[in-house]
Amino acid sequence: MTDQKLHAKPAQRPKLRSRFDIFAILPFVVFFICYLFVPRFVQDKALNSLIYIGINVLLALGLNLLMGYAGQISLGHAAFFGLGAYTSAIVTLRPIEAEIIPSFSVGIGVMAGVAALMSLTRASGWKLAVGVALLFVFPWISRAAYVGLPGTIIICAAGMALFGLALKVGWWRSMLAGLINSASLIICGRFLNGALARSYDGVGTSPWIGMLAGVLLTGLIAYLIGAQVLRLKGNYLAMGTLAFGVIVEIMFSKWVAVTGGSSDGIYGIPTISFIDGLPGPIRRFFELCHGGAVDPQRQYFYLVWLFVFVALIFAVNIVRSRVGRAFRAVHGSEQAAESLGVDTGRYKVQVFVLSAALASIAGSLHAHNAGVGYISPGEFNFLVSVQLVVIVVIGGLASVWGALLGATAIQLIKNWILMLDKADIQIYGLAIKGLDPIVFGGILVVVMMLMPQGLTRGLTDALASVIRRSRSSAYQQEAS
Amino acid sequence: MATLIESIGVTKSFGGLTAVSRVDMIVSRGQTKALIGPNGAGKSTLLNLLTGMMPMSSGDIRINGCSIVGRSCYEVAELGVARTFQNVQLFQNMSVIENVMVGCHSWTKTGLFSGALRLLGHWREERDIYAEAVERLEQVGLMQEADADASGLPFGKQRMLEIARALASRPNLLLLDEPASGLSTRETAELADLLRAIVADGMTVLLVDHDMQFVMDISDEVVVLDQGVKIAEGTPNDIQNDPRVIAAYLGIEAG
Amino acid sequence: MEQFNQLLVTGISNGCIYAIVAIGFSIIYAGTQVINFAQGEFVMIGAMVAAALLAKVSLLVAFPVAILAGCLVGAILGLCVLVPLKRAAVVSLVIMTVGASILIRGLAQLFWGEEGKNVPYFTGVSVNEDHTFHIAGAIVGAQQIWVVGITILLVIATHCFFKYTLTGRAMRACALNPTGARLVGINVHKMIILSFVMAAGLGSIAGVTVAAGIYARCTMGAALGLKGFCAAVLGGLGSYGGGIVAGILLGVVEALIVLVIPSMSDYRDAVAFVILLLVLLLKPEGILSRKKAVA
Repeated sequence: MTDQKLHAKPAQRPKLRSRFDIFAILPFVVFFICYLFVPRFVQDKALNSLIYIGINVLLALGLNLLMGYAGQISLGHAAFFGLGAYTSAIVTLRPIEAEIIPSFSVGIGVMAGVAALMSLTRASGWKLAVGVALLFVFPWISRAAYVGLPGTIIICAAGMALFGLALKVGWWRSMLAGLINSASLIICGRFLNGALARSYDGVGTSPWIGMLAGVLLTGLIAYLIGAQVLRLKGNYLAMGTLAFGVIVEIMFSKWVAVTGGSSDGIYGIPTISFIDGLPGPIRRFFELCHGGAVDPQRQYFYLVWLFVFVALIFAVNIVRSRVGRAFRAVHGSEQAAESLGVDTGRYKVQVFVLSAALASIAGSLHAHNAGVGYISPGEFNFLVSVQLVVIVVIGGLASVWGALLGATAIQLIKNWILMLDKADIQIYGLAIKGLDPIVFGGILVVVMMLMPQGLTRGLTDALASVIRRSRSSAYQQEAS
Repeated sequence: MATLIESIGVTKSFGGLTAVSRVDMIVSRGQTKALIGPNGAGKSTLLNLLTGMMPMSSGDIRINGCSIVGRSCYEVAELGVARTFQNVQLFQNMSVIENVMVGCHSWTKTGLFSGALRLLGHWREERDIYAEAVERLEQVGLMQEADADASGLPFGKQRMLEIARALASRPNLLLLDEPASGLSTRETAELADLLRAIVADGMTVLLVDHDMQFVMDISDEVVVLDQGVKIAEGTPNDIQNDPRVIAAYLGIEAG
Repeated sequence: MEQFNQLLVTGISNGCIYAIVAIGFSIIYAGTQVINFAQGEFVMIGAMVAAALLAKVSLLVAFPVAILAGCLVGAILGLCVLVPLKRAAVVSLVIMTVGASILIRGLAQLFWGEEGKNVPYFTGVSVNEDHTFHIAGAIVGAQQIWVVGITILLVIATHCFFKYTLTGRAMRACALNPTGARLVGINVHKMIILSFVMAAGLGSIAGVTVAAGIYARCTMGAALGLKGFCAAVLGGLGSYGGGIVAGILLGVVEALIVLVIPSMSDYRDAVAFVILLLVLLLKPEGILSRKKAVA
């Protein structure tokens, strides 16, 4: 070893941030205290904005993990938001019509089967296409042949096993896919039948189950779409996710039987009485903090921001964990990440599903919002996807707390625009209305032009460079 | 010495062009082997084949007796192969130490949920990862820059960081693609020292480089490729005096 | 059979518009490797400016002014893209053009309002006058012939521009090798701006032409842009010929799908996107292109 090396040895090692590091936990403590006491001191109108901010924070956190950390763009994130909202609303509310059950459960069954087929077997290309087609055909045959449940399972499993043998993609794995296909079909049918009976009794399903169903369905769809779409990069990925978003949006507005279409939407969605449902001591704790009984809107605030709180903790933890580093490595250099043993494909899908699931929860919360109880396709269109990107860009790509900042900024801007709309201002005969796209578009263009890293990051970087410059000039003065 | 990598008739062709043609090569455990040859000889392609970054057209590569045919790059990495790149590929969006911590990926296993919930196992593993990263950074002399942005490092240090990152994956075999290119004489000497120290600890190194002095200095054996074909193999001394090698480098037809 | 012919005619005339938009995508992509998400808005600008002007002046004035307006917007966008082009990641540029797209749409909505504008046919006195031909049992509107004719004209003009003029060749050189182009003294920045102006010009010509067939709306750009992109990808990004064929093919498929699956009529708009997704996933280098994509 040369002398150089010995000199390089540092006196102290930087410490690994301990689990009980006060500075890491402090923001969360402050956050939680604010969480407990804010509803007590805030007016209804501001509280409503805060609820929307919370929902947007959830969305932005997910999208930021995907875009800022893993570097995968999504221009169709509103689709997952909408899928969560619609699934939750429909499961909770809609008396399920008997005719929907078979087709719906076949759909779920096929999706589960396809997921199994893709993850278990090595089928790809036309073989995969044949397999998917067969997953449609077998349940249909068994339904047409009135073979009953055991028959359905046998036909699906045996048929898929034959398919696996014939096309050499692994027969028992294919059979497993067939089994999963038929089993989930039956379970889904049973579940829907049960729900049907309940909704006829006028009970309805619990919103919590709606939320769970939303997360599961959205996660499944995100997995199916993501496994394919995420092989694309850059421009192509952007267009692919955009196309997916538009397809889902069209489905929301045109599949009237299920979604109520674009004119009606779904209304009368019940809210979640969060505090009332809590066990006694915890409920009393909340009531103590709030100083009395909590009204529905404030209960909803507590619910939404509880999710935000948990999601923030999760996001901060994930980012600093092994998986989080893998996400960022995928962003930095996929090639290098692969060479270090990071299964980039898997992690990309994982982060995609994670952010879709977060969006789905946000969607459910949006649907059950106290005092609104109404959703329509317009709330999940392309502009919403763009707006989410704006939040992430304002908050800074790759910054967890930035999501809070971005969501708040966007809500303030939206409130301001709404105020302008109501004020009915005219400049040279031009009614100043509907400024959202102009403002959001303008922000995106300007920020991306000047600071491609995002606003927060760009500003802190600029600040840092100013400080560095002033320091170095001070140093030069000293030296001279 | 036990065999670590065995390549048997490895061939790679791109359309009509055969970049690597029926190369047989054995790298033994604890050896430092160099792969040299004029530009376009297929050295980097061979490295890419060895790491599973591209599939072979024909032939077989066995690492520890385990064939890598049909395995993707990350699976080969799990067999204990780590590499650096000709054009340094750091994770520019991460700090120096985080770069090295990613290197620990293949021997750790915390998943998304235990990471998100900070379960106990995750905690223990994170400590191991951190200790490993610190050790590797000290080994290459980058501990002072641990918290700096990787993108801000000078080029020589970026190369060192890439080696540290590769070492953090606790590989059996370290593949270095032109590690000395772009380094100053002093940095090259440091690199040679580092490699000797690593090999003394029992690592096997296979490297590609153009700096003959560096190559001859540190390697036990040298393989010469020309136009995708292996034309010579032997100790540095033999290679330096081999007429075919001299011909290949000077561009004269051999024989 | 008559219905088939009728749908075919509709499909071809729609497809021509997609083809022009696709050419615009390809021109900009070739020069900058950026997919201009605002491409559809050029069409909208052309249509809306023409619609606004036609209320007062004749088509002969409105047409060129609309094209100029489109070119101007294109030039501004080109300038904006140039600023971060070298240092920004693809993701940032994508976000930027998306932002530009909704910014342009928002401004248009502010000036011209939400509701559609009636645009008279090129030939014929008013919208209501029945200017049609009957070909093989299908009713062909005069405007549809205009659309097809103008498309053919534009395709030929673009082709000649790139093949025979010095500027066109310089642009192709920039697309193939920017550094090399700079070395031989081509102003690459100017060429990039020019590619934006050209794409915008083509888009707005398409806009004016199509506006006469349908209502001109501020929101029309998004769908047209996406479908044009679909055509561009289908034909292989950067390949002009492929884009044209794919555009017309897409228009026809979209029209005929109703015939094959009648229940799909509600979801007609989704067809293009489903095709887009499938193409992106199965063959991102494009169906009609033999090149390997750098996806």
